[in-house]
Amino acid sequence: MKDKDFQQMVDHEFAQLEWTDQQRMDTLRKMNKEERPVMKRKFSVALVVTLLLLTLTGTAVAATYRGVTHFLTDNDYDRHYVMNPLRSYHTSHRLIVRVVDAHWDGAKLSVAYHIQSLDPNEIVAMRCTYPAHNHYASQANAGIIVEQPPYIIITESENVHHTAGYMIDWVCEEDSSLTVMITFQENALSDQLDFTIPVINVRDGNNPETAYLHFELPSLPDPIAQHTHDWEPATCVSPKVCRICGRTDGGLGKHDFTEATCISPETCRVCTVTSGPLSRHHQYGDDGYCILCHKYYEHADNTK
Amino acid sequence: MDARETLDTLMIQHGSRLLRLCAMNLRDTSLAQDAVQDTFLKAFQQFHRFRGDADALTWLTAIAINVCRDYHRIAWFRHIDRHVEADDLPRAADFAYPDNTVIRAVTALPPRYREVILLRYYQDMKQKEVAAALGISERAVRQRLKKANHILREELKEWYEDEG
Repeated sequence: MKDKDFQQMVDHEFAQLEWTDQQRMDTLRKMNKEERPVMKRKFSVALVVTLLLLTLTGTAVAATYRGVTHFLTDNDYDRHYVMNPLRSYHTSHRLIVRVVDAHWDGAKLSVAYHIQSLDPNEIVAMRCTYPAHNHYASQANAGIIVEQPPYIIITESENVHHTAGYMIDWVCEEDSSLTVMITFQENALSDQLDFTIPVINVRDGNNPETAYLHFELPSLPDPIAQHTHDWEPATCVSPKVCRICGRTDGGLGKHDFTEATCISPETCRVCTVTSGPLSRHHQYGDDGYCILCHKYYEHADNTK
Repeated sequence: MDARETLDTLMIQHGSRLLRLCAMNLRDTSLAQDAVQDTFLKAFQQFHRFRGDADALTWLTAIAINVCRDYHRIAWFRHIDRHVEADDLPRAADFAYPDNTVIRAVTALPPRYREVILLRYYQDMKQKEVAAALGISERAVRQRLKKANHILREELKEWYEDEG
């Protein structure tokens, strides 16, 4: 086969394919204003990527919190509480600590404990002078001691990995009871559903030398066994997830595609994977330019 | 003569040829039109690098072939099933397959062989120019041409016999 033969063959076969004056003019116009659309396109892509990342991050965080919401609310769990000898007025007092509430408040997990004395002869029902939040009051050896927050709880459990920053509030009630509000400041507790707190040290942030308390807490029952799974549907990036315990089941779901446009093919709303070709339909503005891809067509009648 | 005027002249001279090259390479007429436009826009951006002593068609062809490669790559990445080659993706509906047996056979070649055939025989480029355009060695060009010719010879065995 000779080169000229092949050239003639192709030119003859594709004779209808001509680079028209119209296309030439379009290209020249685009050369004139190429800087601006390129910048706009780059900005648009950056904007879309940022929004997608924010959306995905928000979804993931929301899913994480939904997964552990109310995982302690169904039951009260007894705790044993032993005072640290560093505090002379707290020696050997055994208390029962009850979880009375646990809920997510924004990014924080708040757990409310109710503390009772096991031996009323030693501590008379934790009488409170100031029935208000953010005060710790206890009666030991007939004395009333009031301290200010913040109190920091540091757990020693192997199962709780994100517990470096707990805050604790003590609420003294008029009925001579004490409720301890423990707020978990860490966010990543989604994998803590086999939640056990065998030992907790409580440190008074205002007075670290004398404020060490020592909790002895038995393991919590496995909350997973105490609920019926409430499944969040599967997506293309995660299988179905239990809203309560975070367990997963089954395989990944299908993609959730947006429609293709002239600048982007079908795109999954969740994982951003794309599929198929670009759409051939442009959206021309009155000026004859496609509002998406900025291609110019003089006959802006929505047909190419 | 500034870049815009030079490229305008080149568009008049070589636009159709580049369009046909891209159409055969991409097997999609609409994409080919976009590719040629992108080719000239890239040429406009890189015009300062164009040395007058080089053949303008060779220079534009090199850009066009790289634009087509980008389009191939994008088409592949846009597709979910990564096991499918870009060439095996569904063809564009508006691409009328040629009746000509030879052209049909060339169009059906795998991209790496199709490129060298189109550059060598349609664009009439020397092996050295093909090598420069594709970013491969001359030896690789020779090997690809040999392989492509071998495939075409097999495909066109009957045609050659008919042509006598």
